[in-house]
Amino acid sequence: METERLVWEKCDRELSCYTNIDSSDKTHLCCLKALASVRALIVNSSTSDETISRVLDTLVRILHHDQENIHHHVLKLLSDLALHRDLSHTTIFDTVYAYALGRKDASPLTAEALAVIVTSMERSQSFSKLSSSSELSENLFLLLCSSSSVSVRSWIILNAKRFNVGTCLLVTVFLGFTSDPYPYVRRAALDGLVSLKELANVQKHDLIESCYDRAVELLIDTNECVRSAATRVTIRYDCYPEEAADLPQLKESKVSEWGVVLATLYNEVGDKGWLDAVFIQVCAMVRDTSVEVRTVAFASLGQMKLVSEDLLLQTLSKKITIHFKKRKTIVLCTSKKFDLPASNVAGVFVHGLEDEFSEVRKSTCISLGKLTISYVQFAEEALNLLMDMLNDDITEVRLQCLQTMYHMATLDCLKVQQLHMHMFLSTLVDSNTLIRCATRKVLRLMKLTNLDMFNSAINGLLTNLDSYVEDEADIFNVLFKIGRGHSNFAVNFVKETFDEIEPSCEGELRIDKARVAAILVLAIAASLTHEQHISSILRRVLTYAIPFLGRISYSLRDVMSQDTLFAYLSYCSRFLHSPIAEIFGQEEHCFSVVEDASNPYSKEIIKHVTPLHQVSYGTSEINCQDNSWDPSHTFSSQEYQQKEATHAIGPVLKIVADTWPLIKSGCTDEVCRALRDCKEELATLSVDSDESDAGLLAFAYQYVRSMKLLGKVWMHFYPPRKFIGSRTGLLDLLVEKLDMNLRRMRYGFWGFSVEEELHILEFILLICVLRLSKPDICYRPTILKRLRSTLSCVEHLCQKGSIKPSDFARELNSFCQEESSDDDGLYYAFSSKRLVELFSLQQFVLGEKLKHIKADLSVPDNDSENPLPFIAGFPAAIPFEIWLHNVCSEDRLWLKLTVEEFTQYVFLTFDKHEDNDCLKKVALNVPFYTTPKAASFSLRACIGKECLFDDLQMAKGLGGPKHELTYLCNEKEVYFVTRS
Amino acid sequence: MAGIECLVLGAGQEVGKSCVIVSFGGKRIMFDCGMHMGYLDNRRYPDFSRIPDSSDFTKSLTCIIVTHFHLDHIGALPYFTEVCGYDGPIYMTYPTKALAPLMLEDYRKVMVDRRGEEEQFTSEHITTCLKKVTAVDLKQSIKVDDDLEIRAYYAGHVIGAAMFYAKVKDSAIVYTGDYNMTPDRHLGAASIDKFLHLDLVITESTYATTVRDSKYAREREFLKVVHECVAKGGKVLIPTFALGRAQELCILLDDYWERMNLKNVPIYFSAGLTLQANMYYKMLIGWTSQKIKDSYATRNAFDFKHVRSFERSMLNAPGPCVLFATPGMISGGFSLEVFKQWAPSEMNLVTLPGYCVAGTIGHKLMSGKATKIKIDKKTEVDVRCKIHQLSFSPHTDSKGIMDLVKFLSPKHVILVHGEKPKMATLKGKISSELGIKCYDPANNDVVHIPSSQYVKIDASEAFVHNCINPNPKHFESKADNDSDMGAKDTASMPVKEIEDKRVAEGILVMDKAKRPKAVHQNELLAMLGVEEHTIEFA
Ligand SMILES: [Zn+2]
Repeated sequence: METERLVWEKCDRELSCYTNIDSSDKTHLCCLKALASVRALIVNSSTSDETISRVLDTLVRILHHDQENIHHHVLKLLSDLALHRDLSHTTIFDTVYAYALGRKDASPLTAEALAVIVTSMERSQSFSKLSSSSELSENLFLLLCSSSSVSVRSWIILNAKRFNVGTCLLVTVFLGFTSDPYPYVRRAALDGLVSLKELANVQKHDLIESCYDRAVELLIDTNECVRSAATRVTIRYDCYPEEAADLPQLKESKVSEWGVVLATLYNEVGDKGWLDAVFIQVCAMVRDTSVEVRTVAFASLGQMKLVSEDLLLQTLSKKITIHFKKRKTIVLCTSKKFDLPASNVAGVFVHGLEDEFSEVRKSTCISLGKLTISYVQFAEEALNLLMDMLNDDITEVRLQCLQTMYHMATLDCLKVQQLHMHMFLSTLVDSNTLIRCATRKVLRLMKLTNLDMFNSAINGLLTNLDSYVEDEADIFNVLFKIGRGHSNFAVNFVKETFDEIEPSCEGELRIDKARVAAILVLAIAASLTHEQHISSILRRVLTYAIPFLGRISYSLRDVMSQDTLFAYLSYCSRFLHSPIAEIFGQEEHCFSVVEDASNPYSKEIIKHVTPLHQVSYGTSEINCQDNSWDPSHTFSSQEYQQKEATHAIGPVLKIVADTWPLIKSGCTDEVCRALRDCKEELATLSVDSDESDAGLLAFAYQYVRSMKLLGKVWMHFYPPRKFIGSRTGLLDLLVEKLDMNLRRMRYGFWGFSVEEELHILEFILLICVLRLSKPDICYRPTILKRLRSTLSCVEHLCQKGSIKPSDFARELNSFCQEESSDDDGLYYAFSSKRLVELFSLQQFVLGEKLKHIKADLSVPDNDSENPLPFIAGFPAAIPFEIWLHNVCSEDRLWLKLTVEEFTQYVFLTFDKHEDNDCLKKVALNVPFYTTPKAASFSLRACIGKECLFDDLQMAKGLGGPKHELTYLCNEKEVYFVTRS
Repeated sequence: MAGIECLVLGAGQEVGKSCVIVSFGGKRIMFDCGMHMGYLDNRRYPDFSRIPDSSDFTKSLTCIIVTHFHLDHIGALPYFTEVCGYDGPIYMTYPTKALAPLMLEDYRKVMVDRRGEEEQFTSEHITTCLKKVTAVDLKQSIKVDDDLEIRAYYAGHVIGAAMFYAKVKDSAIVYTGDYNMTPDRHLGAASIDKFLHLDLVITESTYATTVRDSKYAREREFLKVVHECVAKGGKVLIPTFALGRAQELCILLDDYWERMNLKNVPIYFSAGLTLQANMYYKMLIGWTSQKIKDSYATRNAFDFKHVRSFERSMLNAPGPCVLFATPGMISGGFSLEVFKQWAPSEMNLVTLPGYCVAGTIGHKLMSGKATKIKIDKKTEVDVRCKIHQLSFSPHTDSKGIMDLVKFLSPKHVILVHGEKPKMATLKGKISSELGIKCYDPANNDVVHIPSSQYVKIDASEAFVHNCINPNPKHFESKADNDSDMGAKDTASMPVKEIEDKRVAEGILVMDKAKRPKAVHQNELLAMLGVEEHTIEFA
């Protein structure tokens, strides 16, 4: 404390001496020393606030003197003060601000003063102050712009946004600075232009065009940093169509989506000329001598996904194609001043991939990947080039290349051919772990179109396993995925390698061999897909998998648990007694040994399994002498299974919820892909699910389907591409389907919690709202009625569960109440858009109580070969057998019988006292009244449940259901023939 | 003497004995001094007697510039200096200077010791000749004399290859020598500055009409055949020239070996020249590609991890291996010896270089599936092994030539080092597509082209200041409020728009000393000593 005071006093003395009495060279030195000590005081956090405030006073005082030679240091100290101390921002701000205004010049000192202001504001987070102080605006800004100091000019460009200056002015000033004699100023100006996001709203085409023109001029700047910045700017503006400003979407679009929106708009306008011209312009940059420029240029090319295909194809070959030669003349429509020979694009990507510098090659790989989404042929040809990059000597490039392929695979545009396989699979023995891992990642998604490719892929993986044991788990996982995707090939492969798996004649099972385990994984995968008819050979092979249970289940832990796998394998082994001769014919003798229950090999397997079993279930009381597994254990593992299915549905529903933003942004393809994966996932789960969680699975399945339909419907409403909009016929169909699906979700299950039901209802509301905006897919009064009734259900539920209704529901409610009387289409379109914005899809959390209401319908001994007899025109009796699952007494069920155009409904009554049984069997003789005058006919029968809350009145003659039906079973066809 | 005069002494509409004499601005430069490998008579050397004042070459020529160490670019140099008596300055890059003696000595040995020809120059000649050479670095400007400035640029092609820029007063030219616009495993791509304001570019045109696609396909093919061969236990013979291709292929294989974990298959280098060359490469690391330079800190790429030297006793050792052996076309020497041993087995593989001279075993193998090859009267080899022809080339293709010419945008182009009909095609393409005058002279032709002349002007301080600073005056405010509108609609704020019409503007005047000078407009009156008159309208 004492030293602090002493230091300060000494400083103060010297400073005041310098400023007030004697500013000679000698005291100047002392003064600088004093200022250095002051800085030490400032940055030392233990300096007392009191001293600091004295320091501040003194510094402020010095600023009022005109010894400008130390002002620079003082300002620096003030900036330090602002940074290190929490107090006194206002004082600093006011002082320095007054100082800056007082100077009225454009010297570096003014800029420094402003920099201090900015720092102090950033610390105190009072940005509003600056924009409100109108004086710190145009005049000062312009004054600084004309500064002769380069650093001031750079500073003002970087901080231009802090001034209260209009966008138009900024653009002009930046444009002016693009011709500054100093390259760093030019670069800063270009970067400034890029970051001017408000430009999207500027209505002046000429402004944008001049930006573009300047950027193009600077593409041949002598300084590389300017050239690279220019390349970036070019692409930015070039996505900007002249018509874009007239389209409403643009103004609404968020800044981050800018590029995307513009690009999409481009396509809508249908004018590719401009974009093509830009593409060619950027192509001219890829032969630049600067590495940075080349890297940026390639990155930019990747942004232009909508460029014409012939241009893109030409980028993959240095030889100019004949077709392309003809084109030359067409291209250059937009840019007036600059000459754009289309030959610029020839082999651009080949050059990029051949580049000496790995960063350029990497950038090229990334861009190629991005562009492959656009065109199939381009994707195929680009892949030829990419494959060669797997031979690159830089690991990073190889890795990027594999990532690009992975990216392509996820977008379904990776078409690997036989001739690629050698090169591609060679990366599986790469000494770098990351590379091998990336390759396997691609393999998981790769479509192997023929048996040869499949075999070489599997052999590649097996070689990988041989050389790098540490990869085992991942390899097994990949094998599993490939096996599931290509089960026929997999079965084939397993059969061919059967000898390796089969215990050798010496009676020793090769359980130590990873290779055998690998093939077994393939077998498991294949068998899961062929669940219904697993050939007995597969069954046998699967038995051998049991000793590897631990290893295999570890690697498949993302797919199933060890218990599930174990249960499955033991389930399969039960059927082992079927003759295997069917497959092996004359080779029967080789295997007949195994069939004997007491044969030594099987026992050996059992021995290996036992310890595992103990670990899993904590019991050692297993009857190992018997060839069949203890049923109680199988059962217990089934219990596990149920839990697992329930747990596994959660993540699927999470993915479904995650697709909502994608749907909103119109990425239909991604949505479809994601949901398809979900479906596959559910299908996998259903393999080992049983009755009790069938309900959950069925519901999840419906839900995924509905989302998929929603995705498809969505793009008709908020289209990224305009041309789809006209195909309303299709839309009609889609919306109907979606409605039906939603009905099935709502009425086809029981046991919903309040939240679950609300979720479904909101979904239904959303569709109503969507419908409202398009008069051609809705009869408005009907939809409004449906809206109201659904809303009242929502209200009821909310009260019941004392839940706050969502914003969407609330708004919708008030919308329904105030709804305008006149039939104003625009009004609905507008409101529905607003309402849809409010809708947000939460993740569906499923309880475990859900029951699937469904029915099975059959007519015993009837098929097209054995039709029922009938006499034309007379009623015919049909002996139905009906199983009803989870139907409760309130449900109104109908049997619907249809012959061509004619429909007959039969109300199903059954004993309502049988309550606790979820399965009912009913045998019923139903007369069908209006048999057609024909020699034979077929009738479609189906069971439906009346949707009691639905609005639609069915005005059918035969006293059918009053509401829409949701169907509980597949249609059953019943065949009739006239009695001869 | 106005303009630029080019006398093409060699490589005019042919490949071989590159030699061009360029005279401009009172200077005379010889670019390359090569020999033709296809001739044994006097056609093998350029016809030096055509050089003006050929009685005293030292006086006649300002300097000689050699682009790289290939014999068709340097082969005649010892003859010219030691026999013809040129004693002036000679320039070449460091690697060229280092490797040239190897090349020349090897050639001399083959000619004299093996073929028993008359000696054109001795080992001593080579040594003394190279002592006269000044080695240069890339991008280093060298003042040959007061007026002539030369500079070397990276050319790819072989290690140390350079393009040369030469400038006398206002005229500037570039002589490319051989170059490659595509980088390979050990060399970078040719690279030169852009704004050189050239009057003339003299470029090679080996592949005047060929457009080559990705180099990776070539690499992949090569690696695939080699890998397949050794995987099945076969032996691979790679006959190659000692410098350049050998290192390229070796880097490719060494890297592949490393990645594919093929440690157990040895790669051998036959003893002799090759290992010595590798040593040179290690020293000249700065002239190689970016990747090799980058990784140099951790490992010199020419310290091949998997390469060992070969002992004759290993010839018939069992197991797979890869062997690099000279000479490249299996014309004799060690590669022939190995070939005799390995060719009869179908497990083995022999690769051939892209080009083989007629009469060599390589040529015979290339032209069709020869099953029996007569090596001499007594020996006949049964060829059962696989043959793979390499298609690597260190020369740029026609697109590369076009790219370079377009990049340099000279006023004139002269094509050399190519085949006549193809050169004609390229010539047409350059003039039609790029609008640049192009010539393809034959040997001993002279091409005259005009040269540029610039007039130097002074600039006043005010003018310079005006050019480099933004002038507040250039920010013209355009208040956007139309007077009528503004009055009525007070709510609309006037939008300030600014136009920055910054251009370097000045006035060119002749001062009293008759020197041209650019001045700022404000200075004009003072300079002319005239008073300003203003006219006002009442
Ligand atoms: Zn050469």
